[in-house]
Amino acid sequence: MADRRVGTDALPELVRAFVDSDRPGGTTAPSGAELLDTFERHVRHMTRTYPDAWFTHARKDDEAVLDLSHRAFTSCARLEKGRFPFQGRTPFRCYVEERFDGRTVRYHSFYAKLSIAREIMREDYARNLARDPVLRWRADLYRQVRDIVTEHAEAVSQGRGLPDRWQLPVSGLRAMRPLGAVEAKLQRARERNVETIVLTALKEAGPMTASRLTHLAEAVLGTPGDDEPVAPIQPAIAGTQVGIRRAVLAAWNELATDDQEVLGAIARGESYDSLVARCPQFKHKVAVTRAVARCGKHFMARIAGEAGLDDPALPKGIRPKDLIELVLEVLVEVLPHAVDPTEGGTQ
Amino acid sequence: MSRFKTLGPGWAALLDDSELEDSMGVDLLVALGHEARLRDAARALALEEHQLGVHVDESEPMGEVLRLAADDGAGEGRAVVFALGRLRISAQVDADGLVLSQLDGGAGVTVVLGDTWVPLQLGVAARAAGVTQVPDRLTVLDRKGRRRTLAPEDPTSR
Repeated sequence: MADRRVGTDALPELVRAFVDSDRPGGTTAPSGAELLDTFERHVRHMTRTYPDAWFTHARKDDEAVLDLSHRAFTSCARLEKGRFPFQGRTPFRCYVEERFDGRTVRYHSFYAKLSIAREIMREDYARNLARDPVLRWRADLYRQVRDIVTEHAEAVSQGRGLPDRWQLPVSGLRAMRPLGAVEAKLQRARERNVETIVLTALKEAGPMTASRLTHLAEAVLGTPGDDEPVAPIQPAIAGTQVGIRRAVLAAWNELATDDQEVLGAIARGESYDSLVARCPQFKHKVAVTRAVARCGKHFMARIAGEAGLDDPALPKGIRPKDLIELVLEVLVEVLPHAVDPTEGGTQ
Repeated sequence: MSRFKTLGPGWAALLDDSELEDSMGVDLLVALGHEARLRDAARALALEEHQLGVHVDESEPMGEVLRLAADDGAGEGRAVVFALGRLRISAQVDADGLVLSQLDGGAGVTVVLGDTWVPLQLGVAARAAGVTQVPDRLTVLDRKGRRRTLAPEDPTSR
């Protein structure tokens, strides 16, 4: 039974009782409910500084916070983590085996910069950045910023677990201005060119991370309003999803291996040089161009036929853009190994 | 701007001068490549802000801190003295239960803790095993079996 004396920390005992009961033949412990309550309380406190973008469906409300606390609990109970201090154990098991006190349990579960709960928030934020119309703009801005610094600047390591900062190659000493002053200057100038914003900031305010540069550019350019709400997928097109899924899979399987390589490289955002290093036959420009044309034509023929794109009875209001977005969603889902670089390549 | 600019590095230079005709098929590939790079950027941006600790405040709730600060003292609960007239009994929780000591008053007092009765002897500590909390009031039976209720003594009164 958990110790509930005033002045004692019941959390380690709650975790131990839960781990003891959470095994084959174990009994259902009342500590589970109390432990979950503790998670809810601390997740609510920890999340108070975060904006909407870091929560499920990009909305911070009671339901989202509750959902997060339950997922953090599940993660602690079920997911074996490789990193320190878990080292192949579930966090709960690690807490018990290492005899962590309550403060340490709370630190690793909620309050540390890289805690279990904050890791889940990072995944939600990444998903929102890729899907929410306004946040997609920020992700695309970050992509542009990253391309610019990769081309013009050099990376400066900040150490393990921290992102690189970027600096312009310079010689000698140079006076730096506060970032706020640089931002104000760019705003006054109504600068619209992302490259100019990035290079000016690096030149005048010194080295900084790509994310910091992105937020600076966002402040100068102004975040676009959410005046174009996402049109819900209409039932008519939703009904074609199964067909499109089949068509995408069939189209992929019908491609020659070389064509799959080209399509996979494009879909993963791989560089052309990297493709050539892997598949030397594509160093000839014509070979690539033909493969691109062939893949595009083949995929579109398969999918358009399935979706009835040429059919005059195509649901009213469905634009080709909608269809492409839908195809991409299905493609990512059906062929994650081809599209998602974290899933590995086609090799 | 080149429509191939959103693909991975090197593709725009290669495809801009090609004789690729405008078609939905090529548009699809470009859109696919753009989407892939955007998702990669989304993951990288989220990871970067996560590593930098944007929005992070590592402090625990104030109540929790106060509770732990109280715990930092003796490591065990503090003794509470219950009194009624001359009768005074000290109660303190330790790792094995509730420790009771009669400090003053007549002999033959028994403390009643639910189903547990703990007879006391002046100046000798007695233990109620399994009790993890000091009660708000202490119920005792005197040598004649009369039930008395003792309240915590005001520490400033002595």
